[in-house]
Amino acid sequence: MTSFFAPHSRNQRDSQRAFAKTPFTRSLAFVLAFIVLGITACQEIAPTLNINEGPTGPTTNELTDQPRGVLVEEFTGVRCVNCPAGAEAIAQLKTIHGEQLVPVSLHTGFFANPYPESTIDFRTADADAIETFVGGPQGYPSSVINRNQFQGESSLQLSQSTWAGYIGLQLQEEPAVAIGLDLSINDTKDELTVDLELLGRSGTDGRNAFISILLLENKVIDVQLTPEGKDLEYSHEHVLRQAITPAVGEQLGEIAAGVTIEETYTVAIPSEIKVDDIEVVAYVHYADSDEGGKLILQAVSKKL
Amino acid sequence: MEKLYTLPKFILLFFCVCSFQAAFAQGGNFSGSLSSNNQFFVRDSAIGAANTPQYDRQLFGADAWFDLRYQDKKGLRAGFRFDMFLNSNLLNPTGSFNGQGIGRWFVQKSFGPLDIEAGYLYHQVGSGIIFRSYEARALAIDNALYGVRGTYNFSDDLSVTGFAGKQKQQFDIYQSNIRGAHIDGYTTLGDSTGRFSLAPGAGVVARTLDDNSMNLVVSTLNTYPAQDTFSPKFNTYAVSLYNTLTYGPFSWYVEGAFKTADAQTDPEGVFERVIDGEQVTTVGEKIFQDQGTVLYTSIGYAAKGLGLSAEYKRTENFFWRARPQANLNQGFIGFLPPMTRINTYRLTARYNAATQELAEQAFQIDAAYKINKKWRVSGNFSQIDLLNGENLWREEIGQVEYKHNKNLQVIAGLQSVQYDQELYETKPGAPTVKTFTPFAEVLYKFSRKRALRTELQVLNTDQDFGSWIFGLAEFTMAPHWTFTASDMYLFDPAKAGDKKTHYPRFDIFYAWKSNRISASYIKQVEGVVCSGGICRLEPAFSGYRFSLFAQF
Repeated sequence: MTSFFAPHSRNQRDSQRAFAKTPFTRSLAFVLAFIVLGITACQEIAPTLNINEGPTGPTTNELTDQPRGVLVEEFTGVRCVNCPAGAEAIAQLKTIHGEQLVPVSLHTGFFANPYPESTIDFRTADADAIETFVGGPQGYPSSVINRNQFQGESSLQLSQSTWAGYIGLQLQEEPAVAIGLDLSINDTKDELTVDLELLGRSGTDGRNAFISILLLENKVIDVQLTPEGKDLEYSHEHVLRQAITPAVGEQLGEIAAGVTIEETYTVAIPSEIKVDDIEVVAYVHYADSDEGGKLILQAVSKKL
Repeated sequence: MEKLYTLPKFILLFFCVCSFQAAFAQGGNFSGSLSSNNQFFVRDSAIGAANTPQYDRQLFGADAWFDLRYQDKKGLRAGFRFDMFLNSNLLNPTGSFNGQGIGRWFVQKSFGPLDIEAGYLYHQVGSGIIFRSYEARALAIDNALYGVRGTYNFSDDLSVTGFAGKQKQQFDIYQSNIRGAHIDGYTTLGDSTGRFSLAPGAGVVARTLDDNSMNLVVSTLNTYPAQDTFSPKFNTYAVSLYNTLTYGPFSWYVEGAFKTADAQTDPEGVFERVIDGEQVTTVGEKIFQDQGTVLYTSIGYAAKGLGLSAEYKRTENFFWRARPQANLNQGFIGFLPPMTRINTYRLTARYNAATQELAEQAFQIDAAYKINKKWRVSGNFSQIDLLNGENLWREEIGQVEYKHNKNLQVIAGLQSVQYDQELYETKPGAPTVKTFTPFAEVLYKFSRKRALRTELQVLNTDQDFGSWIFGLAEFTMAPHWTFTASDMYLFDPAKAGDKKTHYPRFDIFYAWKSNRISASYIKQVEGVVCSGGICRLEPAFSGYRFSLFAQF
């Protein structure tokens, strides 16, 4: 049987021989050699991994030694079926990074519309204000990490695949400001006092700094859409319930290196919030409109 | 950070002056176009057109592209494009993107066998599997290569091309370096009848990951259990061999691509950890490193009245982007050919299969036969599976076209789709959508200048939103005016609590020469828009849209 590709005539055989001698075959050989050499000849030195198996930051209360805190603003919603996986990822990272990781869950957008079965509407004007300030997410869940405009990212909002990496990179930095946070509650348990102490470490380099303090609640049992359906007993963690300062920050002015600032804030605790599950988050940041202008300089959290 | 719109003004001025000088001195010519979409958002929370910046406070958004090109008689081509995005949700369906400036510039010159180009380049190797830089405005894709390209033509039938640069990212660029080369040939092997030809080629593309992206990979791996870590590579190489064989009415294209190991993201990665002495399994986005392969082939037959084609593709671990962290439609270096038919009717196009980068095995068969001057039949079958055999997509569609006379034409058909909504739209727990959609179109010409076209489609399904009916009437008064009215009606909601809802739309188009203006009132349900197998979520829209396309 004659092959489909076999030359059928002398002319065709001549043509095929001529083809074999054309620049085409020589160039093909060159390109193939280039491919082979390109792949095999270039050995690179691999980066070094340093696997983090648990919290490594010092637990000292000294502001002079305070390690970098990383604020993770997680945008979520009770109708967001993928958000429980995002929350789980953050919980997992919290077990690795400990107190240095400061998560805040912000219920915003369409996915945050409560279900008829919901007993709590997690949406707040403060969460909406923060979303407007940092820009909306591309999809849910999405997180803003230290409000840092990372190179190669088109916005402050980051998809889940990048959270662990950016958190790790931010943890390697030194905080420009250290934050001391003390909480106390009155006898009737309806008023919370937040004592704040700020220390300029490297300082804000002439720029205006802002302070934001948020009241969070943990272990809030309510409806959440999950891959298995509506979970009526889902435990919502780090939920923003109320901003103690203006949601996008209260201006402090410049914080020079070595300067200490002390402030006290008092806030009435809404009756629907369980006192035992209150958490307060405080962070110092910029609030400029230019790129990188919203950077978190330091973030801490404390539970009652 | 490098910004396109901070391109030094003197470069632009120099470019313009040189272009005008050259144009007048050498008899070159300019051409260009303006494409603009302007949207006024009217909040309608009943259809989900709410809770985005556009509906809540911005109320207006616009996208525009102004393209100017110059070409002279001596082989010089140059051009630039001004891009504008005001409160745009193209990039981010739920967000608002603002930016304007030079979106592209390029200069290209041919002299003798050499062709050189610099600037923001659109280019392709083979079918694009290992490299394709292109623009798809509806998907907010513009992954031009910011760099240089040189092509040496040994003859009309043989060329070698090399290129290098960085990939564009909106008004910025990715920091990874990309370079590549390919050789393309054409031969008839001496066949004097012109019936037989071969068009073989080979290409290689390499990407060197930038330090920031690598640091991010390393930092992520540092949080993984030890057994899930790996030594990430800075340099990744993708090679492909391809050929088109033509023999008379037959044509056969085949391409095989291989990619060396690099870090990729698995959206459903599995982590096994021991926490407090207990084995805990979690599923989530996970970076892994592996080699990738793609095999793609298509065979076609075209003879008088009959057209047949079949395609097959197998993809494994071919996440090939400017950085491992790129997601959605960002950072594509290559292009994986889609394996589904492009449907044009509103409801037959409601569900689309986005190309899967990590695992996909797909084929489609397409046939069309013109029985006589009045009748034509066509059909398509496509199926997409994961490599483990799990079905993601299946479509069967057949249609009959009947041309009664020059004034009356009828098209009717049936479509059946099986669509894995859970995977394609990342909706965990969503059931597989099964649809059955009869459709019909009637075109009646009242006169040489007056015509009425009507469409009717009924999409039946028990999943997703439920069953829809769509009707459209389009009246054309050639050569200038077209009036369109349509309604997409959810007549059988699948979800408890959902209401029967109308989504009306009215359009007026005015065209002259190659220019067109349109004004539309639109209520549109959310959906997925795809082009070339790449898809984006199209959010619900309520409001008015004004569009302009002008060309000179």
